[in-house]
Amino acid sequence: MNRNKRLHPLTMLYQLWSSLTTLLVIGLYLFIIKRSADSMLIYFGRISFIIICGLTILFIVWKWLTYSYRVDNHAFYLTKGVLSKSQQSIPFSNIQQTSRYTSLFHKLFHVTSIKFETGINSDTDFIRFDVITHKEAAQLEKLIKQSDAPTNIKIQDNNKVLDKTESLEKPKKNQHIHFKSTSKDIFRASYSSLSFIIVIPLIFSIYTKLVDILDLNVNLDIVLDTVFQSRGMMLLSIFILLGICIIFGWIRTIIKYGKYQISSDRHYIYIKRGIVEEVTFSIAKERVQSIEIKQSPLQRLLKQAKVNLISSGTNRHEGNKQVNTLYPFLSEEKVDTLLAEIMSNFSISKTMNKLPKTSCWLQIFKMSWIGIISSLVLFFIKPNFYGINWWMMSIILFILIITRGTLNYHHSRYTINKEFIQIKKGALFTTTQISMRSKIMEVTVKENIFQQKLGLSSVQTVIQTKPVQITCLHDVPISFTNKFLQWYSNRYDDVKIE
Amino acid sequence: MNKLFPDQRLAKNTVKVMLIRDLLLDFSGYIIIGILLLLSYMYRWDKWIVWILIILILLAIIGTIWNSIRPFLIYRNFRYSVNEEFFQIKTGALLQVHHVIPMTKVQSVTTKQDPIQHNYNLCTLSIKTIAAKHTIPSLPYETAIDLRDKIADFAKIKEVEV
Repeated sequence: MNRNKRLHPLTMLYQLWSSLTTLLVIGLYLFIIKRSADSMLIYFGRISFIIICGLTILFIVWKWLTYSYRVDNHAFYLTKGVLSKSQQSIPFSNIQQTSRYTSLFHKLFHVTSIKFETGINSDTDFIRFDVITHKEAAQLEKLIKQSDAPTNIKIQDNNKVLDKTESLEKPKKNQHIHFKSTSKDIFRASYSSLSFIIVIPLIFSIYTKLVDILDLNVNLDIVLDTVFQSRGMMLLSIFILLGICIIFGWIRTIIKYGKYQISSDRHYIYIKRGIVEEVTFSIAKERVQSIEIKQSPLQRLLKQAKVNLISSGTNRHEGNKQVNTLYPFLSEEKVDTLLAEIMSNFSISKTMNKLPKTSCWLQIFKMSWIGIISSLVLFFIKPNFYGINWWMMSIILFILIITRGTLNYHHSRYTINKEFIQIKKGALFTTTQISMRSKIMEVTVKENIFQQKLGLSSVQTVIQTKPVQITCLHDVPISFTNKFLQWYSNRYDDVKIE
Repeated sequence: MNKLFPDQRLAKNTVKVMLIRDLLLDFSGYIIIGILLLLSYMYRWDKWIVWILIILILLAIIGTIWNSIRPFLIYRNFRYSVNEEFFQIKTGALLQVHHVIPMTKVQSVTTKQDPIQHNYNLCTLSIKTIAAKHTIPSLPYETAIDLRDKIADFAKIKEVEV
């Protein structure tokens, strides 16, 4: 692999495919829907559409021609640039996590795409191969793993390289499967993700789009009138709608979370999911710097939780596309056993300290400023919103503030356990973060005037992700703050220095 | 416990330098507003402009009062410490903030000197980390240069990235 290589030729088709959807809609509008229109605007629109299409294709081809890469045992070397050339080398040691994504397009051509996330906050924070053969992707992954692994296991892995028949798709001998989603899991996921609700906006948006594009003049009122005329008809249509919702939600969940599998070997964790579109994710256990356990109110009720593994390559802007989630609908007991199995180097303490009572009052007091100011504003404006007076509004506001403060107090927990700090916070949506001392980039302690009087303070940790993750727990007792500072000052105990 | 709480103070002349700098800035602000007021009087500008200028003057006076107290507060409450393991800064009275930064996580260190500081042989030192920039507003020049080299030296040490 020591010569410069171009990306797989299908990359061009893939990129065209991605830009196709937007172009298709415009094309449809210009040539099909307005086919009989002969205004100047449409005419020029068509011409510029063709030019833009041509330019897009030209650009994609040019980009492909000017992009090449080379791999050796230690790094990627990229040469790219349509107009200004740039060369980059990205050492494997910077790569934090790997994810593979196989869409329908990739399945069609028996290829896949692979993305390597580095821990660098810049424009080269990842390397992605949009189209790559399975064989090559596996090869790259193996290369990175080898350079990544400590020397003692490198020898083992080298022996394994000789064994050419093994593929990454099949679980290896020493790869242990910890979790496989069953149909029961899927069922549980489909109702706890509330995915059936999504049907309603979906139907609505399809309807409005159809009306927009096709100039449909179906009068919804007439349809609704006939439906609501008889009670039987109404019940029937409600049942049908409910049925559609549940079935649709179920299918959606199966597609998204079906065939979920979490496995690990001695040094890596692998997560695989999806039926139509496959996503695989792998991360070295040593690179996990913090574990995040998230719970929504519904999940708390159902005793479920979502677990994220955070490395410095974790992109926190990914939102729903997040790949580092273990499984979003794990039961609480399963979370404990699973984490104990796969993240044995993390010790998670079950007992955590509650905040002192005074901090509850302080939190409500702090938020009250908003209540007081908005009450004053309401008093002067005196709005009347469907018979709700200004003082009713301000009472509601204060109730909200007090509920939030109490809930936050109720959920907040903290503890220090060996080299780990555990912080739990949040009013409605709670997050428990377990971070490793050596991976905490810096800490801050804050005390405002009220906290100083009450013997409380706020502690804050910073963890490197993209962008940096700052976690602050307010109003912990000063004794804990001192312990926290002492604990952090011993950080060099578990850090090796080159 | 000494290790946990920074004990070094800013340079003695800090208050003086900050006062001079702030008052100079304020003064130039007053001059600009004054010129505008004069122009508005001479060319009979609209009333609302005059009102805005008067509000600006009031704000500037409040600012000047604050600026003449602030340096004393900063000097009184600022503490820092640098050793081979940590860079620490503690600031504030009403809101006390204490940063602890491992030396190995310092990305860059900068010293800066403006003309007034030059006059009093002082220097500003700031370090950058992945999350933020932390500044020691004024140090004796030699101390700052010393510290800068020391931090650069300590920060060179790399942790084994796993």
